[in-house]
Amino acid sequence: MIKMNYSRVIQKTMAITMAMALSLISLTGCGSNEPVQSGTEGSNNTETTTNSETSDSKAAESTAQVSASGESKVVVGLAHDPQNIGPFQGMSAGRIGILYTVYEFLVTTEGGEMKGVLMKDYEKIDDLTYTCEIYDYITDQLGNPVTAEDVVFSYNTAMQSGNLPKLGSIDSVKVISDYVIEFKFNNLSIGDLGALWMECPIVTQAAYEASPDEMATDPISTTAYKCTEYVSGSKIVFTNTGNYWQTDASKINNTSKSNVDVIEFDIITDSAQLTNALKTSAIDVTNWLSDIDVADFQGMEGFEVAPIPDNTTYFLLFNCDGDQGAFADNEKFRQALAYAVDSQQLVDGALIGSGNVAKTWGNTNYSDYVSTWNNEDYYNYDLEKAKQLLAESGTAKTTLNLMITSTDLNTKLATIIQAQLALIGITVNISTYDSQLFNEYKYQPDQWDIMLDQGASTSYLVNVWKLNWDSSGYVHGGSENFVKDDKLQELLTAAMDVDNHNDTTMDAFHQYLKEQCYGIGLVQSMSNIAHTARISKIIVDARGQVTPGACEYTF
Amino acid sequence: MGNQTKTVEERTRKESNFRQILHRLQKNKIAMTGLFTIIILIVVAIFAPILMPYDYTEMDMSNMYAKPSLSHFFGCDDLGRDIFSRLLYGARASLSMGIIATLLSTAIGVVIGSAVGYYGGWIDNVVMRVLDIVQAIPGMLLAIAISAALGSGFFNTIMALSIGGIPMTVRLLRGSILSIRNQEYIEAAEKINCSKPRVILKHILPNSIAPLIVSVTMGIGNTILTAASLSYIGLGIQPPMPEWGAMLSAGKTVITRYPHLCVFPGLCIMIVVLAFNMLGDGLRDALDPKLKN
Amino acid sequence: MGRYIIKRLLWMIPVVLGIAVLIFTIMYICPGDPAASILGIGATQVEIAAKRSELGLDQPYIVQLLKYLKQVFIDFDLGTSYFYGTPVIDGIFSRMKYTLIITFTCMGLQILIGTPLGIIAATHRNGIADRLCMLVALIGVSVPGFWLALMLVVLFSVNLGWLPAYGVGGIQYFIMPCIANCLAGIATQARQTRSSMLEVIRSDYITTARAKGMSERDILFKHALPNALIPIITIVGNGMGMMLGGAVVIENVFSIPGIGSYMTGAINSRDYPIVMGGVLVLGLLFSLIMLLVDIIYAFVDPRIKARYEGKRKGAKRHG
Repeated sequence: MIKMNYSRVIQKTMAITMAMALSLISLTGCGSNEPVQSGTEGSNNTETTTNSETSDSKAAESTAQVSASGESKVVVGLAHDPQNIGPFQGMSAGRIGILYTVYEFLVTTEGGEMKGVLMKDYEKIDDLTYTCEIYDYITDQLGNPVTAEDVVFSYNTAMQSGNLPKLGSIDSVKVISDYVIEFKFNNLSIGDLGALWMECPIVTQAAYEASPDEMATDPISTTAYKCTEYVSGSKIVFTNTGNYWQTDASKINNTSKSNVDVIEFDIITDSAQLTNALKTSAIDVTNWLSDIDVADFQGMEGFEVAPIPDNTTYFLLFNCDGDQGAFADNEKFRQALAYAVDSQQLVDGALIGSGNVAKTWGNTNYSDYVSTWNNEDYYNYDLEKAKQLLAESGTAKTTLNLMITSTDLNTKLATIIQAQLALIGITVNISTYDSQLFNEYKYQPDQWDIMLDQGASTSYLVNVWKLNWDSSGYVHGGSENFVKDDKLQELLTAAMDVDNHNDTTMDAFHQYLKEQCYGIGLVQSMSNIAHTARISKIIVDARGQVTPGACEYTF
Repeated sequence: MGNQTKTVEERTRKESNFRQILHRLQKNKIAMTGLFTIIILIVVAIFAPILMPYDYTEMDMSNMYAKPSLSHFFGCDDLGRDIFSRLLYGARASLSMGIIATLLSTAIGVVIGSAVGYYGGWIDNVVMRVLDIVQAIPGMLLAIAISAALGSGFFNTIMALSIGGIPMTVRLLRGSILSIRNQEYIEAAEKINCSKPRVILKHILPNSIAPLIVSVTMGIGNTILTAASLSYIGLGIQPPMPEWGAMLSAGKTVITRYPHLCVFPGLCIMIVVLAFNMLGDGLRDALDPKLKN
Repeated sequence: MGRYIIKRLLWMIPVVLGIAVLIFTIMYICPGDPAASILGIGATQVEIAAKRSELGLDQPYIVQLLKYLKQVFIDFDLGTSYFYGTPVIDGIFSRMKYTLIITFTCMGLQILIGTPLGIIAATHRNGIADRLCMLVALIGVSVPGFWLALMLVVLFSVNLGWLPAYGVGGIQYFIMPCIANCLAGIATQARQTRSSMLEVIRSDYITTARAKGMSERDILFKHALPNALIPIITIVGNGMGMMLGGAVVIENVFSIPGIGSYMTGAINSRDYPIVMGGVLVLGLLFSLIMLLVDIIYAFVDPRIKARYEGKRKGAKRHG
């Protein structure tokens, strides 16, 4: 039995705990104050350019439509953290949401066309050599003037970082005069020129070298918006400097506009919370709601839904590896599965009707999509034909491993496909992996039989094809699903050629791929962007991301 | 009184310890309710294929997110599958993973903990420091490592699930043992040449196991929920197999609009936790040697 | 006692070394690496392989291990995050403050609410108070954290508009996260306290104390509670250690940039510097907390203190 001096124990415990706590807290520098969201009440728009009524938002804690100092503000919800917002980083899901607010490039794309931003003009010297002239009055947010030297510096630093491997197509970048740069390329396929001029953010050498962390948290660029606050993992705030270098309004493209004073990006990784944030008007807009959540906002007072065509297509790939692929040299097997999959049911079940059946290895939203494909049979659902082809194929393998990444949508698509294939006697086992494992296993032919994947490009459909079917991109020398077919490669190269890129070459590749059925396009999704009525018009960039500076507002 | 008709031998022979414990447990109505519930759940799990009104993979697109009704007792999920059937079938995966993993981690934890607590000295130091090291590694990483090194499969999933619980079990047991280790009755047992395992089993464990029981019974629910997150690394249950934790996670996204996707799996997990806790409480009372008959 | 503490502190060196080697090895054998994620959307396999090589991820195990050990233990540099581009140590400290706020608040609530609940339940065994407390505790541990969190948000943010749904800032941002996070802890605390107290209350010395005419209150605080403290302290210490790892689910739901989301994000994207550096720092902190728990054991129970000081069995039987 213990008789104890209770208070003594408590004293000692408290003392030690205090000591630990104090040392921990002092280490974390718990002295800085996070700015609290200012709390002006509700929304009270007086005029709108839309038909919907605006009403008082339900939340008393709202992001103010004006920030503390009386400026106009918009809050964008991001489902992924941009993390390092320095110029020479790879394109992550978080980064695409803030890209054009942070940086400018030589050119931008609008409606599929290349438009100059920093670039005033360009000239073709020969097939692989171009010169480009930039405006002579560009300054960055600190006032440093931007010259050809800075462009060359940006490109060279980017290429050395190894994070922007597309720039490997560039052989050299040289200063010709104060505002003229010469680009020499190793090769140029269709769409490459614009893509390469839009790949590398331009920053001044002076600002970059002065930054203690290579602009990871404090970028200095030529846009109208300077980063004024960066709370790691929580929010990034940009404020209009008021002295954007391009004073000629006619030359300002969508990705460079500045219609609002303050842009705040809030990082909200939980999808249910993203919806709640929009419902309480804590954010004004977000790209990342699922279709079922977006449906909630249809017809809700104070909110609107903007339908935005999406560039993404979902595909099914058959493992055609010579040794371990179940589908190598067995066209009938592949086609049997293609006929057994009912893409319309995928649209209804997984996309809640908000999407379309794919008619090629890609999406109708590209300028080089050939419209005759819409009227063709693209393995339209035919159960009897599927069964027949399966019998004819003579395959013994009736249990297949379907590999997917672990998103809700992929899980739904896979589950429906699993049920559909069961109808022709194929047992499908679904393997779900996170993106790290998926990216590792997809290159290993012993890990999967069929794979669900998706793809998009900022320029042309052929560049979507390039990603999956161009063997030069794969260490094992085949396509993404280990296909080694010279004719396929030939047709693809022909369609990618700058001078030969036309309906004929596009159609030739499409027909061959369809015949061989190495893989099929399944569905294309529709991106519906829900937003508060404070935004009257949503403008998106080439990747389908909201461009806050370019949107039109009701205040 | 009623014993007078028995022989002297019978009267003086004590009931074995084990039967005493069982007897005390039986008298505890709450514990029996808990045990009964668990048995029912296990029976349901075994006979699920017969009891399910619908096949657990049967999709009915016209009934997506259907609310509970007479034809679908618990409603339908996002692909139109009957939730009630999926819960019945999911009991197999969830109960087996939850119970086996928890029992395994408890067993291992008890063995290590009693050795550490009893022997003390350098064994105590070394083992506890090793546990400090293991406990520093996030559970998900350990699970990925197991999945990578050993592949997927049921047993590997159980291992991945049970590893997390071992350090806590060891610490609890060690804590209890530390305080009674040098008590007189332990010394007495040792002096009369009780073998060490016997000392541990008969004297130390019953006195120190109580906190363990509470922690273990409460941990079962957590284990079931953790199993859901393992599916992302290739372990655990893959679709379309139902599993309570996975159903709960999947229902999270529509929790405000269609709460029934989350409510029913959650209730099932709650019932399991409740049942085990009731049983656990009774077990603790039964094992307590200080309880007078 | 002092010798014991010093011995334990010295032991921490091999422990930290062990953690470093173990975490490195685990990251090495885990499939998947950050190269694909660093390059982002649309990178080809060839490009990913080149990036992997640049990061030194294709070198042999021993080479990479020794490089890392040298970097951490000789240069005292935990490295720079692949994805944030900022030093790991800065990231950990800036995130730690949010986690600490939640941890200390929840721990405080757990001790202040859970312990009295357990004591009340134990002293009124099988009465209404006991049944009620235990019911509440059971619900608390069975309700999934994220469910409670989302329910709170729907009620207090979306419908009533009293509290912000997510984010960090003033105290109003932490109310719901702390409530959602501490419920399971309070429940466990209550049950564990009750269980320990029940054990103790039936002991002989309590009966003796009652026979001697001690007041119930005195019995409770001077005899019962102290003896019941050991498992309670274990729970608190362990819970504290685990909370330092961040309440991952809560941080994710409420978008609080704490240690939990920092680590899980890093694990998911295989941001090796953060994972390894974070595990090292957290492992060290956890060891310190466990040492604290062991020290408190000694203060609460002199028998344990005697064990630490290595008094031989039977030594006190003299006389």
